Amino acid sequence: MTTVSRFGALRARLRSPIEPAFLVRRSLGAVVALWGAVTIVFLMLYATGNPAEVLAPETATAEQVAELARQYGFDQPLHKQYLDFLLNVTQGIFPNSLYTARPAFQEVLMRVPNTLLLGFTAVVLGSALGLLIGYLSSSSQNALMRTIPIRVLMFVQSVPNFFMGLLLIYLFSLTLRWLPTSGFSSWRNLILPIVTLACYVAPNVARLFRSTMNETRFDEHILTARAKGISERAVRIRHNAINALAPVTTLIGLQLGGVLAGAVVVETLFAYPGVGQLLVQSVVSRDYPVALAAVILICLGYNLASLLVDILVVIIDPRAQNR
Amino acid sequence: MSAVSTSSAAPARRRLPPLTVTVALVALAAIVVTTFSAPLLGLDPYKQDLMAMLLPPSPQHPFGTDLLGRDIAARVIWGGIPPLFVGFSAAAAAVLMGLGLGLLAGYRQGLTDSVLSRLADIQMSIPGLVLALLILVLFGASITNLIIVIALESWTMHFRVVRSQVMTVRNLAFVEAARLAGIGEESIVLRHILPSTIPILAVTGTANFSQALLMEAALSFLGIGVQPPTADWGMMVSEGQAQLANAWWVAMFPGIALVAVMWCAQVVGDWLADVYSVRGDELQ
Amino acid sequence: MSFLDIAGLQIEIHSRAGAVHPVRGVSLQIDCGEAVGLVGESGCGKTITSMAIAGLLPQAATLRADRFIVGNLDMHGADAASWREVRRNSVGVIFQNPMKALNPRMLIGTQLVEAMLPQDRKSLRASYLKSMELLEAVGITNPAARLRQYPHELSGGLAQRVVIAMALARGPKLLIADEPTTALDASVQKQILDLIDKLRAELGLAVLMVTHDLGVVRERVDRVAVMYAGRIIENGNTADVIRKSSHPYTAALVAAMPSIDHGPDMPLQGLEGLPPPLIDLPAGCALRPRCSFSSEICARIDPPLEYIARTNHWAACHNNRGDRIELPATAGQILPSVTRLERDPEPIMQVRAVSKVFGERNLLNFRQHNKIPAVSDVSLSISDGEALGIVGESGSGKTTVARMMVGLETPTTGDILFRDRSVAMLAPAGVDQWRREVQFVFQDSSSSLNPRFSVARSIEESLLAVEPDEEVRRKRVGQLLAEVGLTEAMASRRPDQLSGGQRQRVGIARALARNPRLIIADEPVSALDVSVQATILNLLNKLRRERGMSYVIISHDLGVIRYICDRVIVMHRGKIVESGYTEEVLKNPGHDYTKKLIDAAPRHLKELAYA
Repeated sequence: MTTVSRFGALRARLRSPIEPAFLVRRSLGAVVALWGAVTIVFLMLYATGNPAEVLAPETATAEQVAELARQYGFDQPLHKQYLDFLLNVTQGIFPNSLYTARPAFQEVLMRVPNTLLLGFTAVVLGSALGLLIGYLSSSSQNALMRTIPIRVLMFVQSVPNFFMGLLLIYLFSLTLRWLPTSGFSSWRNLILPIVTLACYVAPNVARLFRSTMNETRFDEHILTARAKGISERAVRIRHNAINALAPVTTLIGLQLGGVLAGAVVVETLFAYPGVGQLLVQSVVSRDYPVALAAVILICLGYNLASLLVDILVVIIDPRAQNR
Repeated sequence: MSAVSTSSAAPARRRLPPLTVTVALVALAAIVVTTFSAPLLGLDPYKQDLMAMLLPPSPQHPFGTDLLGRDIAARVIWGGIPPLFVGFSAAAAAVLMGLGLGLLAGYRQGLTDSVLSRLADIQMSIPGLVLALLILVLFGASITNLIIVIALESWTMHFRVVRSQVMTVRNLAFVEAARLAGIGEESIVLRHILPSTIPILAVTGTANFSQALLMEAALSFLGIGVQPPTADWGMMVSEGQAQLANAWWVAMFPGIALVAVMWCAQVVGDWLADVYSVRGDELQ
Repeated sequence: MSFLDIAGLQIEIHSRAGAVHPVRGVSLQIDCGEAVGLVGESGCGKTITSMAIAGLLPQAATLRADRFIVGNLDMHGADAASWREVRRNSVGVIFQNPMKALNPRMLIGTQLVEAMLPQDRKSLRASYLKSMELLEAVGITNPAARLRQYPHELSGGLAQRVVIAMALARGPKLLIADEPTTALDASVQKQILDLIDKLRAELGLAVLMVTHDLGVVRERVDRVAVMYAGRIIENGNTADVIRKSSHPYTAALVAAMPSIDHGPDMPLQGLEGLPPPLIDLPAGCALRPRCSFSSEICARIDPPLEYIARTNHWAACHNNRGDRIELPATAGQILPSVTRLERDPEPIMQVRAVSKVFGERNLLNFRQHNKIPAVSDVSLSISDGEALGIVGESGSGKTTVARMMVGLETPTTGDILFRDRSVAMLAPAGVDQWRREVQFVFQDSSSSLNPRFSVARSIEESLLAVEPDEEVRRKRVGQLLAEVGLTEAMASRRPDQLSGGQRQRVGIARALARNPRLIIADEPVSALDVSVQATILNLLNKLRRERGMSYVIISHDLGVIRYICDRVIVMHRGKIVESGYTEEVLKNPGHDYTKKLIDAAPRHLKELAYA
């Protein structure tokens, strides 16, 4: 008779599926990707010929530009500039904004919480909506529930995000006067931008979840689960649905880039003070330090989010880390 | 028995497309034809008439007029040229790039594959619109640059699927059998490998077209794409935003045009994906 | 006492193509503690029948029966809740592919606990103890560690034991085993079947063994029912059914299996053609198109299952008079014993001390394959007119050796010689000669033919490099098709329009295109149904006689090897453990592993059949 402590029994039921090799490999991949992004930004600086011109205010004279060039070390050999650039970026050292004269990274970081709030909520909301409608269209007993919600989502997918936002503004702000049109003075400002962004995420999630549920319905492990005599609902949710979340989560990870791009447009449309709006403003007004800093930080955020999503996928399907 | 991957190695069943798809294809063709015959239709998108600002839709101006008195119907027809042209060209360029590099990486493997795959990964680490914004503002926002930048952003989509398909097919027994029959490597690529990528490229190509169109419209909306006074749907929506309260038609009609094209492309793309059994997570 | 009593079971499934009838009147009884086999080839309806007994049919299926009693409960028209009760209390199921049967994201322990009765999992400690108990009962060593593992970390055999433990967790009275060993290696198969036998004895379980393999069933079950096209066509004591088969199909199944007792002097019988599709079946016996005994009544009336006193079992055949069926000599049947042709002392190919290690370190991807050599110091030679067999389980390296002999892989060390010249150093003309004289037949015909190409085009490909004239090529393709027993009409078909046997013939035709001296065949029949295997093996022997070719046959099946090959090499984990003349090796195996292989192979089959 084997004796067992409660700890031992608990330990037998808990074990992280994440293998260290995978974690290391994936993190290194993220670092490489980030390095690549920073390098591309570096190349952008030099693409136009004279980086000093790029970073100088438009009204600068030739001497001021030359002075700037000396200050930033643009007269140094290229590889040394590159290394210095890398070092500086990792420490957060970057030129100042041409307009506010504050450090560029600081300008961007101020806006990060807003965009984070917008993006995160939109992804969660959009995914939840997509999962719900996907589940309904694959497993509902009611024929209408199976067809109508997902058709609506399919239509929504063909509406460009800026137009969708515009329509929502027209309906809810101008006509019904329930919500404000722009800015960020209260929580009410969040609703329309979040909904607009969520409309980008939901349709593909719904579609993939539905097709995965349908395809895996007769998988052998589902049959085994049913053969255990557990309730139909437990089979459908614990075994069918949750396992079907794996490709959906992968999809969400792949859509993150699109979410960020969408955030840029949506923030501009709603004049929402986030990183996206800052990026557009700085690009239009040629405030390159801020624009480049925004690009770097956006890439950082994107890669981190992507890494987290990949880890989430492995938790749902441990086989994913061996591919 | 092992099953050959259904995504494209098996020939598509020759089914007639369902009604919605046919409608979508016809509608898309109609829109494209109308748009590109704009020069022939004798409509002037630039003619300003400051006496006729912001007029609602009427028989003389079916879609109304904008802030400068220009006929919106004319501008909607002309305004389709940049998005459709950019969308199609960028997608075509990206498909060719992705196909070529994907064949190379999948077939040669080894160092070539590592380098190209890393390149693709790095490329994908910057969200497309962000990179596009930067490049366009540094190099100018011409149609050519738009096409280049959008193509550069989307080639990875095709690269990944072609590479994966090539790596699968090149190990399949019938390719080995061809080698044993003495068929040269080049012939093998042309006879066996290339044809197996066509179906999946049809799917990614259509998806690319939609995405490219959307990106052109978004860039123009932000003011970084096509510049006024050229008519462009995205830009027109942006112009119309300020008038939304009192002249809804300025933004609505170009927007509806966008939705129409996107919907048609989506219906066709979905049907192709269905026919060739491609799943959503393989597309992006 | 009867546990399962079904009579007149009919199942209909609605699909887009119409109503399919996979089960057309099945009657089955199983007593408590009895083991019954349900045997048939793919598509005969045995799996659906077993699923029906467990209540696991898809929603689109409708079920009708005269009697449907499971464990004292009348389940005819029962609702989902009642079926769940049945599955909870009386019936356990194990499936074919254990890796697919387990949920990949859950720990073994979690899945095991899910299968338990509520009283066994009241607390963490109680469920833990019960889990250990269950795993030990199925013979798993170190159960504590296994509980914390994920399914993909287990081997096939281990995973199947877990599945069995899950099925037995609630103490069912009937265990349904659907092809429980098909996906496993031969040596593991025996272990699992032994385990099921042991559990049956210990727990007094009734077992329904569903399989296509008569060999499995012969040794383990008391009674066997043979299914064809949705009906049971023979039913009775295992020994009676096999020894005194009263239905042509059963006789063909028994006769078609090349067992290791089946020497080269005994002909193999096969059944040409395919089972009929189960939509809109015509009246009469379903086997009629393929049966050499059919008479006029067979076309009109579907023969009922009748008891034959003389043979003490049931069979459904109009021509059944209670005698054991003697299958007639099939047209063109060739005695497989091959007269040794004039020996060309020079071997066609030689393998000298060859080893192969797989593994590439990709700098940027950090992936590393294991460094265990797939092939280790292997030497062999094959001369004109010989047939050499290489036998071993998966992972033994036999396929790698075959692939190296045709140049699909290159050896890491050692040399491969063609006509006494190293293949690595052949000039283009030499390579061409090598390719002409040595050809390869692939295992899986569904991936060895380009699904887009017509059959003719695939075969023609072998000639493209050497025959520029299209007309000549076309004629040759026609000749080859005829030689392998296919009709002209099949030339324009695509692989997915052919059966597995037909596809394999196309693969053989393709290999024959340039009149090779040596054909290397990798598992030429393992992907095929048993009755079709025989026809392909007969074809191979016929070709050998007519063309005087040599063979190297790779197989895991000793029966196949014994039927075709004069000499055999036994491989295990990349090394040759034994070699010699087939008869010798089988009669007096020297190495332990060879003995194990022979043990695990089904014997007595033919012995009984020809008693």
